[in-house]
Amino acid sequence: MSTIHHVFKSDSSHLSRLANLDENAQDIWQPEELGDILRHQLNAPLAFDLTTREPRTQTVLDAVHATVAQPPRKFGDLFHHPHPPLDLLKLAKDFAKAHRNSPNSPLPHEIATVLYFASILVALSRHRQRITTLDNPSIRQGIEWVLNQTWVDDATRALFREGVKQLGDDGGHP
Amino acid sequence: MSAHPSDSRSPFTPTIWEQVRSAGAGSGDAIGRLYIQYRCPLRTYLLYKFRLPEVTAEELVHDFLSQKLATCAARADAQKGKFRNLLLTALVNHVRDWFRGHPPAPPVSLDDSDVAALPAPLEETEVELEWTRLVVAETLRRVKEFYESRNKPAFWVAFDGRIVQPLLEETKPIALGELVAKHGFESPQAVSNALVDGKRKFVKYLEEVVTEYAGDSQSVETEVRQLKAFLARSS
Repeated sequence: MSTIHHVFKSDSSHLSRLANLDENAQDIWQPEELGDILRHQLNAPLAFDLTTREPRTQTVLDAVHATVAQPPRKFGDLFHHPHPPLDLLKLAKDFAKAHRNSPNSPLPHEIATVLYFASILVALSRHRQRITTLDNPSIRQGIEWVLNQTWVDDATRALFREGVKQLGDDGGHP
Repeated sequence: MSAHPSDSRSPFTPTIWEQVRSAGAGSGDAIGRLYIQYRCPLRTYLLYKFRLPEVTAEELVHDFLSQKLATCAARADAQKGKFRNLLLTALVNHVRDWFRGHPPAPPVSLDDSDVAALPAPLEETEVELEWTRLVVAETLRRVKEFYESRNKPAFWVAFDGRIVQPLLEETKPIALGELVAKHGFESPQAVSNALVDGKRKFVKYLEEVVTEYAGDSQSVETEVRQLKAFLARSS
């Protein structure tokens, strides 16, 4: 029996859930699916995702490719690069922030959150630079949330643990 | 699809009761308009409620509206209830009469046990629920038809399997991996995109279905609110 036939067997409460379907509601993903999506996103080409209508993004990407010997080409490469270009981390953070704030983003909120804090922490640990106006308690809260997610892979977890240490050493900052 | 988007309507579209009064007074123009407005949802009702073949459902609705629409409009009274409920009740009676001359085939399985069974007369409260089901069914039919017509059947599979069935039937959502491996999605994000699109289409077509029978935009807003309120009350 098709779903449409099933409508005529559904009671009010089930119909109500469908009739009230919110086009802005986030989808509910299973933990293993979030793991798959994160893995896919870490393998996604930076040039494709980070290029926006703003000419600045293309300028940054061009400059990185012109000046860095082995420029990172994927999100995963960027976060694990020994000398990740700071401007690229800023673009990655902006990309993640835009997706976190957009209810209709195809990137699940959880994944955007991981990318967002990863960009901030990598800038902090490899460059000792803050690319956010968030204070330390807010960043710590973000780190704890990520580390509590069972679907986050080990390599990404290691980045966050490194970030925790850096945040601890960085006592002078807010 | 005989749909027209809500924003294409003139601000001078007559309300449903203005049309019903004109139709009841014998205006051929008003009867024709009501015919167009109700044909599609009533056809969907017969297709999915009674699982009649498409041609039969089409013919039954045509016969019913041709024979009974003017009479229903003449009998309708805004104080006594909604015109759509009067029409649906009359359609069910018409189908009961038709079934007497066309006895349903015996069911082939338990799942089919109520297929094409002689419909019982509708109680007052049931009519409202049946109409709401009809609106949701027609909305889903249009979403499905849209994706099929655009050669994107996988979008319907994703929307149906991850959103509609889990909400309606409390089934486990179809796995992301299955959608990627078997239905041609290039990535998990492509599935996510399809779901965002499916939700938008559902909201758009829900409004479109209601617009087609409810008349002016204010009535549409009221009707959608009332349908949702009815479901919430009776849940």
